[in-house]
This record gives sequence, C-alpha cells and structure tokens, in this order.
Amino acid sequence: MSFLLQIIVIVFCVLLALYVARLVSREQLLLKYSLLWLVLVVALILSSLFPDALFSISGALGFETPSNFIFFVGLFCLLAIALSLSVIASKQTLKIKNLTQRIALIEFDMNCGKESASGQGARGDNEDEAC
Amino acid sequence: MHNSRVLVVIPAYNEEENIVDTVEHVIDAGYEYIVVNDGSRDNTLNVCRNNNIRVLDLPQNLGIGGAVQAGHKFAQRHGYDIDIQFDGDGQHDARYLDNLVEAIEAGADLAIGSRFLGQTDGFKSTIMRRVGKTWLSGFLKVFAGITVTDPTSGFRACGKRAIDAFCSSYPIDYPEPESIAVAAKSSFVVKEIPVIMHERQGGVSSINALASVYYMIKVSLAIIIACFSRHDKEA
Repeated sequence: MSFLLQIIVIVFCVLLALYVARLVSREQLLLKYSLLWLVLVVALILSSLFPDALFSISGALGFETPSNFIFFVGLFCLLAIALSLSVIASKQTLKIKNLTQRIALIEFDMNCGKESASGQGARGDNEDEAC
Repeated sequence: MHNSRVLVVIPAYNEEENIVDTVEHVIDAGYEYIVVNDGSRDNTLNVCRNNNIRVLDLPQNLGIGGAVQAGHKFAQRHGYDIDIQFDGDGQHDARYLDNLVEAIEAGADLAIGSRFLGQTDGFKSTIMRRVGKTWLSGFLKVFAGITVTDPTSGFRACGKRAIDAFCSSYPIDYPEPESIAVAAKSSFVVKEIPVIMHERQGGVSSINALASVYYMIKVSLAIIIACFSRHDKEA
C-alpha cells in the first residue's frame, strides 16, 4: 500500500466522519444511527494505518488476495446496514399505522362528543344520527 | 333481536359509488355500523358526511389490514361485544349478518362467511383465484391444523376475545388468511357459515392479476411465520 493511497483513504475517512458529525448536529441524522458509520470510518482508518495487519488476517482466513477480503467485509457490512434500515422502516410503519388509527378514533370522539353535548352540530338536525 | 352489542365495520377505500347502498343494506338489516374511510382519494368521505353516515376517517391510507384493525379498535373503545367486517364494495350480503352473529353468540371467537360451504350459489370468483384459495386452505390445514373452505373471505365476525387480540396485533396487508392462522394458534374457536357473495358492484379489487403470485408467496410465508411465532408481539 503506497503512502499516497494511505493519505487518500485517511482524508476520505476524515471527510466522511465530519459529514456524519455535521448531519448529527443539524438533526438530519440521529446519533444512534451515526455510530454505525463512525465505526466504519474508524475501521477504515485503522486498516490504512496498519495494512500489514489487514494482510495477515486476510491470509490467515484463506483469502487469495487482501482485496477480496476487503470486498467481503465491506459487502457484509453494507448488507447488515441495509437489513437494519429495513427493521427501522418496519418499526416506523407500525408506529405510523397506530398513530393514524388513534388520530381517527380521537377525531371521531371529538366530533361526536361535542355535538351531543351542545345539541347542535355544524351540519344541522341529523347530526346525532352520524355519531 | 340479539343480546350482544354488534358493530358492522365497513372498510372503504375509493368506494364513493357503493358506500351509500352498502350502508343502507346494513341499516335495513338492523345493525349499528361504522365506515372506516381508508384515506380514499375519491369522494368517499364527502359522500359519507353528506349522507350522515357514521365514518371513522383515517387521515392516510393504511391498507385493508390497518383499516380493519381501526374498526376493531373502535369496537373495543366503544364497548361492542361483536364486530363484523363487511366490505364496502357491495360483495357481501347483509342477510347473512344474523347468521354470523348467531355463530359468535353460540361460542365461536371468529365466524367466517364462506362461499364454498354447503350448497350456496352466487359469485365464487375466477378459476385462478379458486386454485389460490385451495392452496391457502391446504396451507392452513397443514400448518395451523384448521379446516377453512374460504380463507380469503373478508366477511367475518369477531367476538370479544378475537377483537382484543386483533387490536393488539393484526396483519397489515392481505390480512384474512394470516389472521385465521393467528386465531388457530391462539386456540380461538373458528367457525364457517355458508354465505352467498355478489360480484363487486364498482371500484377495483385490491388484488390484480399480476400481483397474485406475489400475494400467494407472501400470504403463504405469513401463515408459516404466524404458526411458528410466539404471541407476545405488540403491533
């Protein structure tokens, strides 16, 4: 690994880390979701500072070339991140569904409670029939 | 007529053409009802308001499962003993409401109106859909150990136990077969009642031909997962 390449990777990682930090400070990314990306940045910096360690792990695990090892690990990390995003999206779907239902129920109670109390609705005599 | 307080839940998505007729049939049969407007993009909500139809208005579209669950939650909140899902598109016949209520009062937790039980005629869907229903029936038999002749029927009544269970968790889309599996796993008493259904009088079916393979895979998977999961989830 050339010295220039090491510098490029480290600069790239620092920029990524700064961008993630900026997103967090502007509340466009929640802190708990930023940790995942910061861990990735730290791993990249470590592997560019100590490429020999990376090469020996790759060799020990039986990868033909270190680049295969890096692609494998990178792909695996991205899959894990994508799966966790699906989990987050699913949780939010359920939450939005429950909120939507609750809003409708409360709105129904508000309209009908108000009308039966005052005895006159905004739309005339047959109002109570609809409640 | 009945001792229980019964609520007919009418989920409606873009049903401006049929909703008034459907509600009239339910009223004529002597039942309380609630229309669940599932974020319709047409004039369904205004048609309901202008005709003094009782409507629970979901501020955005949730799909049939979310709409039906909203109906269950409404029934629970307002203390009904039985709720009956009754589609807003004119497929279901209000004459059979009594039979479903009787089945629940006789001790069933979930009573399903079946097109294929007994000697009923009327609309029984296309051949491809019937093949699909046979497959789902077999699936429910094998994995949930329950015999259901019309697993996709949306004409169904729930007793208090089922209402409570479906309020805390109900499948989001294509919920009927999956909820039968959940009911069987919860050892609910599931009973089928022969009914006649009509061809839809307007609107568009929620399941088109291209989506049916996706539908079958998804529902089959949902049944398997429902049968092997524990029942402590909150949704």
